Amino acid sequence: MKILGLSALYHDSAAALLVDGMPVAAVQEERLSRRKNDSTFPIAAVEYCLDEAGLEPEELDAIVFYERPMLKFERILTSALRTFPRSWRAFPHAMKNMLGEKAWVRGIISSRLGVPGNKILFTEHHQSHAAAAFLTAPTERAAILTADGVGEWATLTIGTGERGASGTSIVLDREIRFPHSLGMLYSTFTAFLGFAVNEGEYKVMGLAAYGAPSMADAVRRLIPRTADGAFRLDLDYFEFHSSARRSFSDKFVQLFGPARNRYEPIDLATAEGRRFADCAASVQLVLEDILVDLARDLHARTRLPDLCLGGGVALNGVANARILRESGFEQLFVPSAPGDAGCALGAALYADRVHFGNPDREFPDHCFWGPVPDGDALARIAQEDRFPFETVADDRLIEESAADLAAGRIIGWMEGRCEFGPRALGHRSLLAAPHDAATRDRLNRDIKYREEFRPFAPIVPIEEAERFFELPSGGCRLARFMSGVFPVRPEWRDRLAAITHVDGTARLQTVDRDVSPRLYDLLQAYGRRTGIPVLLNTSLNLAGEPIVCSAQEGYSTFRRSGVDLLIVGNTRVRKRARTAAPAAQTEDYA
Amino acid sequence: MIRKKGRLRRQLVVLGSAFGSTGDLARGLWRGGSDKKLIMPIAIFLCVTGFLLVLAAGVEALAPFIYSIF
Repeated sequence: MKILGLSALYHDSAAALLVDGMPVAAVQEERLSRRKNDSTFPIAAVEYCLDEAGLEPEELDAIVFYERPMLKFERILTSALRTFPRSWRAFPHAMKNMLGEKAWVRGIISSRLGVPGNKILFTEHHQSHAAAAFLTAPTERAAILTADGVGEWATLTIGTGERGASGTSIVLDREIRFPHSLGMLYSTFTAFLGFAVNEGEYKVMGLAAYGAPSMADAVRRLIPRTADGAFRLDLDYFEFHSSARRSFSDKFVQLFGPARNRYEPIDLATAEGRRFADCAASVQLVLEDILVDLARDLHARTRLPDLCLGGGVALNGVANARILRESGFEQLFVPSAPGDAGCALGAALYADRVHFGNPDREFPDHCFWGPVPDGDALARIAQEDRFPFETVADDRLIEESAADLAAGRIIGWMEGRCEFGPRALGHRSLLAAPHDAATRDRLNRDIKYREEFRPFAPIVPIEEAERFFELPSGGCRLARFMSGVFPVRPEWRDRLAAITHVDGTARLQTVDRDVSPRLYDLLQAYGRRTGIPVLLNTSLNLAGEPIVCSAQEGYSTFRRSGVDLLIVGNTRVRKRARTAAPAAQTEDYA
Repeated sequence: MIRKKGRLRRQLVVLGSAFGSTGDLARGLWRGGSDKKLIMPIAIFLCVTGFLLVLAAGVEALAPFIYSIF
């Protein structure tokens, strides 16, 4: 069967294609349209997926949308009426938004792709999250926990999944419903701290490390626990359910002080800056505590060794690491795209395995389902731009790249299919030496143009991870898609200063040679030179732009920033005569 | 290759499916218990209004006739 999964019209649209139960392609629309978090109908992503399989839209057996728009409309309508008259200002806005396009998804898909309406199916939002988490994980039976802002009504679901020769089942038997939502709690603090909702949540997580959870008790007043172990939000502190203007109420401001002006930088040397950091630390701690409690309860109830975690909340690597350490589960699986984009793949998998009852297939354990960059295109564009380029064989390229990195140069590294999900996992990455804080500052200042408090991630061969990082059992697996934050071993922190966050942790990625052989070899070559096979890995993009996808976009980023070299496949371009940072000497780091 | 359709044709397809979508909503509300049944009239009214707005935005020749309703 040929099944296309779609996620669209809210944030981060994506398409994913399954042929006979196996993924052929999956990509976020933003990577192709170049609009960050593009939420429009993912026509470019669909076109790419179909081209990759050589299919016409009429040849698809089913197109699956990742949620039920009419159930969502019902929730918006019911919430607006329940909160009337407070909601009267937001109501027309919500209706215009919903009725303008979002309610007519079946017709939109049918009109854009030219397929009959009876081929279009809908899954529930959290079923899509659950399927994306469970059916992509290397496990046959697992507990499932999904949490995000809100889907149709559910904001958090709990259940189990089972697959094998007898079929596939995903049972989500408990849920917490809107407006009581962990994701909305975190997003409210994201807005309060002056960051963009659905975009800046990871900044809150990064900022949390600079603060102390001194306001945790105040945050707990916002989200009292219920007798059955769940939680509810005290809606006196929130306005997201009744207002389009802001998500927190005056009572919230009385409790935590004035909100941050988004145009003012956070100065951690001031009392105001520390208050914001403390707010971030407090909400982070409360979120972690609740997730750990829920996971512990789920473990006690199911006695299963594996937990699959999905939904936007699963992007919180600090919470994930605590769940792994404290909940009792042996393994925690978080997919590369746990957010709404990943629902495109989840919806397609759910339809294939559960709705159509097709036999289970082992899912390839990687996330590289997007377009391949063309090294020849880089050569052409560099030639037109009168910029020197060269094509280099693999062995030489890896050794010379390791030498460049050890000399303090920053490399834009593009190879193979692009990642599905928000993280650059070595196929569209900026790589740099991880040793010196000056490298981090240079990346922030000259390339990424972003806040100082945000950390950079390390990348390490899977066999070497324990040497540098304190990993609990199952930690290597959680780090496969950069889904966990773990302590850097104290003895290495000075020598890994560029990737060690202020609290001594790092959001680690482990690299398996079977999945990314060239990157693995580069890490080992770098390790032979410096004694430390660890690199700094951050996404290849500039502030406000999506991660690059094609060689042309990589070249544009290279030319507009302080990146020293760009490597696409075996083609390399290098900036001329730049004074690099001090060279790394083997004895300095080993 | 996805064949691009004209805007008018696309809007007509969307409109054609709107009845089914509105029916889905009404069925959902009907099954949802007595409190949800109460919001059925407003839900259907809003759907019809939205439907007319989509029609006005998509089929420009009809816009003057639709605006005159309001």
